[in-house]
Amino acid sequence: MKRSKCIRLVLLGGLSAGALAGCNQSQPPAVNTENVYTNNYFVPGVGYYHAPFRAWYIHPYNHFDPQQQRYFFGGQWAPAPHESITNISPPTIEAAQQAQAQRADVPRGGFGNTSRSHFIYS
Amino acid sequence: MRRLHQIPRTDWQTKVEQVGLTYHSHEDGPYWDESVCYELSREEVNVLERAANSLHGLCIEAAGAVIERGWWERLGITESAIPGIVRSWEQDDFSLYGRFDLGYDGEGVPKLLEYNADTPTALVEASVAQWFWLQDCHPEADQFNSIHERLIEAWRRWAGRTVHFSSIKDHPEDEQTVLYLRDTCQQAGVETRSVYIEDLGWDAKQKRFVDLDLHPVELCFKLYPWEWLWHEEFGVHLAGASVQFIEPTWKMLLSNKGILPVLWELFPGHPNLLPAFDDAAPLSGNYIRKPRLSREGSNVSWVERELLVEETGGDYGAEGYVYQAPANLPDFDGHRPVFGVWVVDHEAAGLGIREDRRRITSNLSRFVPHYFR
Repeated sequence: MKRSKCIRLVLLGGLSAGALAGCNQSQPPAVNTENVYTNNYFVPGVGYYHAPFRAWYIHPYNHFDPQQQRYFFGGQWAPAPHESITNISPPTIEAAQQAQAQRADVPRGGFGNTSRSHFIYS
Repeated sequence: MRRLHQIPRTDWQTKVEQVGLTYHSHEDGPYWDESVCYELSREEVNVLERAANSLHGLCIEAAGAVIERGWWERLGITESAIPGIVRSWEQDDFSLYGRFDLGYDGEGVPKLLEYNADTPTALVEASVAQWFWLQDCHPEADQFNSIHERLIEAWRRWAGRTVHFSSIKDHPEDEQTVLYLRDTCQQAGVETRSVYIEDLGWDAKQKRFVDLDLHPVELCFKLYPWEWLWHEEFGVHLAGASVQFIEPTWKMLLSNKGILPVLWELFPGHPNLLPAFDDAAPLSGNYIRKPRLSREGSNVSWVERELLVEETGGDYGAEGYVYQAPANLPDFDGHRPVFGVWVVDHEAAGLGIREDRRRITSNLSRFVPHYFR
């Protein structure tokens, strides 16, 4: 027998390709106080969002350093992890402005141009 | 081998669309054509399978020879790509699949027409659509097609990692092909994400590619030719980025038709190879001229007794041409099939047949299902 015993499709057929291939946005949305962010929402060049503190920091929320045996949250190290029921929040005005100013822009569109002239594969 | 007429399934368009083949028709008619099918014998399938496995072995040897002997110019490979190719080869970077296009009449020996090693398509039709067609139309017969389960098996090595899947925008065939591959990867228990080629971002601080959610792209299946990636704006980042692409960079050596003369030089007279050269002289006026880098039969010229008898248009050829002796393609009432044998994880895994009234198979050729007994 050289044929597959069974073919089950999980993604193909049921959903359109476009629905799975992204939302067609060319740039990530700007950071602002009208949006809410979850813990560890990462902004390149800025860091990880700590929802209880409504700001971005260099390390992820409750990041553990095994050498120091300490946890990082809200810009400080502590012997125990931070505990909070807040895991999503809007940033403060200062944090949003700072994040937007510091964010390292991620250029896009650097691939894909040749396809406009050829557009076919083998 | 027989080419048989049969009545298409009622509402066949919906049936193939339901399994992902949304691009079943050209402007001029059906691309998926189940008004005919090919019936092969078990021995013929075995011959095709053995030929593909043998050719794959030759290709791997030829790729090594190109690197060892520095035959970059023969393949028209840009200098900036060479370190990446060598590194990828030495690391033995993972290769998922490829498709050998073979000329075969059921009596002689299959001959390699070309190897689509980097961005082969016609996968959904070969792996999925014709399998479901078989269940409906010839459930008692077998089919050379274990592509689906072989893909799933191949992806399993990446369990615990995240694989991104990338194609260009606004191209339904590519999007469906990549979605299907993502489907098989997900079924292998691997986490998957998707990003269009155009949406890949470059995070200069971290020196890595990122998707639209800024997730690092570390393993990426891309349905986009390597020779284009190297020439585009972000090509300068490829050498320094930590991303591993699938297909790997070393596949540039095999997706290039410059490998055809290399194969003939290394293995002259091999039964699965056609004579091929970097110039036309040894072929005495009977040859097929193919651009080293091209897609879907573009810019191919068929010459007999020094006379041009058929050619296709396109804008390829800047990297030069190779010259290959013609194969004896079977002719079924004016229809000429080409046998596309799929290789998954370095082993032959299935067959897709495309046929055309012209001698040069192109993106307008029809896909015809098959079975064997």
